[in-house]
Amino acid sequence: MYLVISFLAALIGLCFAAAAAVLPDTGVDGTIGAYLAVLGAIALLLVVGLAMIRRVSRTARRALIGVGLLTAALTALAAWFLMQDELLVAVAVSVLALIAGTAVVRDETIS
Amino acid sequence: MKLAASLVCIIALPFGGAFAEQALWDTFNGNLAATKFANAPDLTPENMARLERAWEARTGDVSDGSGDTPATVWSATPIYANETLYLGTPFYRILALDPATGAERWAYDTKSALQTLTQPALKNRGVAYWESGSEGVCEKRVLIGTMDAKLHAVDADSGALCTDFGVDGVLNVNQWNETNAVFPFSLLQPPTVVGDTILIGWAGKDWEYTVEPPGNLIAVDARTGTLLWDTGFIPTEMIPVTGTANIWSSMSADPDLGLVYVPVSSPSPNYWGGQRTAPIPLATSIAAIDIKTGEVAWSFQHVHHDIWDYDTPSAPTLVDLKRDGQTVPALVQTTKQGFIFVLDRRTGAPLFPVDERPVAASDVEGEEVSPTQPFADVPMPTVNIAEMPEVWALANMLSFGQCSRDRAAYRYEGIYTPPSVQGTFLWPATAGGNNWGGATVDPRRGILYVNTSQVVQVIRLIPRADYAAEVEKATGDGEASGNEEGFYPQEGSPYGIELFEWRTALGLPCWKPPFGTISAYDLNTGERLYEKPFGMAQHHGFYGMQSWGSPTLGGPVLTSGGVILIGASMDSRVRALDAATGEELWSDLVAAPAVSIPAVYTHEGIDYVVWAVGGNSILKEEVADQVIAYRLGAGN
Repeated sequence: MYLVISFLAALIGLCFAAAAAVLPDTGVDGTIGAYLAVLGAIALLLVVGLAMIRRVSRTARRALIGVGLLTAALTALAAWFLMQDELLVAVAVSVLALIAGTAVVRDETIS
Repeated sequence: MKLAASLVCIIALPFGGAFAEQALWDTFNGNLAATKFANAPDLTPENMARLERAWEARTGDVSDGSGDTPATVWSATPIYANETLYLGTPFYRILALDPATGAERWAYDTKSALQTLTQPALKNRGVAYWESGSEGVCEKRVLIGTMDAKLHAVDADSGALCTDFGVDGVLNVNQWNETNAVFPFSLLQPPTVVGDTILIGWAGKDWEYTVEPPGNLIAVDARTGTLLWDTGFIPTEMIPVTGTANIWSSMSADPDLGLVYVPVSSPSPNYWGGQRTAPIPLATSIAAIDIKTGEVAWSFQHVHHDIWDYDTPSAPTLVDLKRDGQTVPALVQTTKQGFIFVLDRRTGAPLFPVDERPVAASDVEGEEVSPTQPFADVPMPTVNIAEMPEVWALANMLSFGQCSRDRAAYRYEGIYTPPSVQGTFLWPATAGGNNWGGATVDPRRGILYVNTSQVVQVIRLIPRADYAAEVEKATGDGEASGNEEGFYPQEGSPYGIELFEWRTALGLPCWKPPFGTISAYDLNTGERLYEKPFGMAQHHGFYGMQSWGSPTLGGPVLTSGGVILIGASMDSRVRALDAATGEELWSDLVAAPAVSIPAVYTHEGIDYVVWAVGGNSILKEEVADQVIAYRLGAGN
């Protein structure tokens, strides 16, 4: 459930990032910064998508979380300096849900 | 009763149109005093939360330069007159818009060739307005200039050419470009209209050649375009070796004194003066010209032997000040160097001390700089002229020490350090400090508000023998002449130049923020009331911190309700500030940097503020064709 929320939030974040980069008069449209944010949002979406695969090993999952956190941090930083608050919120929700979802998966594995 | 009426008149007179006519905004700076003060008492700090978009229009006259049409730079201030809003566009069209809705009433196309004859981009700063006081066709006129020196006059009601003006409605101003005519007189700034006289300045490219057209002010009859007088600013004996000292910016006028006040630019070429070592007293000066005769009543040169391109950038602002219990008709000039000169506008005498102080000597053979330059400590300059900004630790760290190495490599011995072959820091930068947007003044209290860029550039003289190869190496195509940055040939002099902002390889400024500020000054005492970072810098889309501020182009407007309205910043925002504190009250994201002065007008009882949003590559590569008007919403 948490991972689904994380995935949806990452998807919404990607939409926000793409809109900021492509739509006119966003203040950042067509800029390198906006396209970097799109790349970050895509990367976060991929990481969350991979994390949703149940057959991923514990080591791989840890690595994914690490990459996810790093990606999210960079994307959130970009969103902050691009003044794209919606993207920032979406990334934050996605990361929190990813952490929660991973914890649940770990608990299920332990039990 | 008559006595009371007379007293009101006497009190109101010094303020020019600041009160009685302010609802119009019928000239570039709002009124001939260039106060940019709007009699809009409802636009108060308390009401700014209710400011909302009233309408938006797109002119279609925009180009980013990627196609066949050159890029546009649009800094027009709309004119509100004749119950209509008039705009000039960078494609040299006039648009007449409904002030309440933005709907187009008529359009006039000069059909001027869209060629960058003297500028790196197609440019326009708006239109001028004249009315005779009589009724009938062409008794009210709108005037627009073109880059190829044609001044068009059209009927304000219909947009039809006024055929009694010039030849069939078009005046060829270039007919008076008879000496060193290496480029046409580009009419980018709208002319100034005083009574029935049209006062015309022009722009050129003083970075291109050494010997250029000598600057002048041309006065023509508003109805016919007949030449009334033509006053030059370069001494006759110097004309064979130099040029310009032109008026490319707006002017102000005091009809009661019969004087027009003109901001005169630097002589050519911009950054080398070895061939023009004799005095040129009117260059880089403020000059008061008799409107009837064209005689120079007085002048005040604020840079001697200018080799920094520190043109007088904006219309002097006229305001009456209190000195020792007396009212003194004053003139205030903000400058690229950051000095604020306050003069008696009757005589040109400084109202605060101006000292001649020694400045650095040139180390370039043949250059003879002035040993002293005028300094004014009061009011406090808008930039720190005592020393240039420190190296920014963040940029220095991210560039692995490039900024520190640059600081040691380039020459800087205070303001007015001459250009050198090794490279010289230009602080303040050639675009200022303060530029053509000028200041706004509250004429009731003598308070001045001004936006300032805090930018460091590097200027490097390139020996003629090396110039072509260096340009080729840097650009690949041998062509890189810019407006405020790039390579400039200065043909005919021993040196071309390279001018660039002091940045890291990643584009971060090497100097410590702020990069832009807004300040308020009490002109009666000279005291600075506040200085605050203004706007946000933006690079590759990323915004800087608010405390860093932004370089600015364009000017502020002050309402009688105590609000400063200003675009000007890199971040494509238009803003309302509390004039008392400089704090931001409201902002709105627009299509590009609003590098213009807004107009404030009252139409059918409602106050509007309108910006032309066009962008300027000096700030960032983003252009637009947006006209956007705001008014107070209903609120709670």
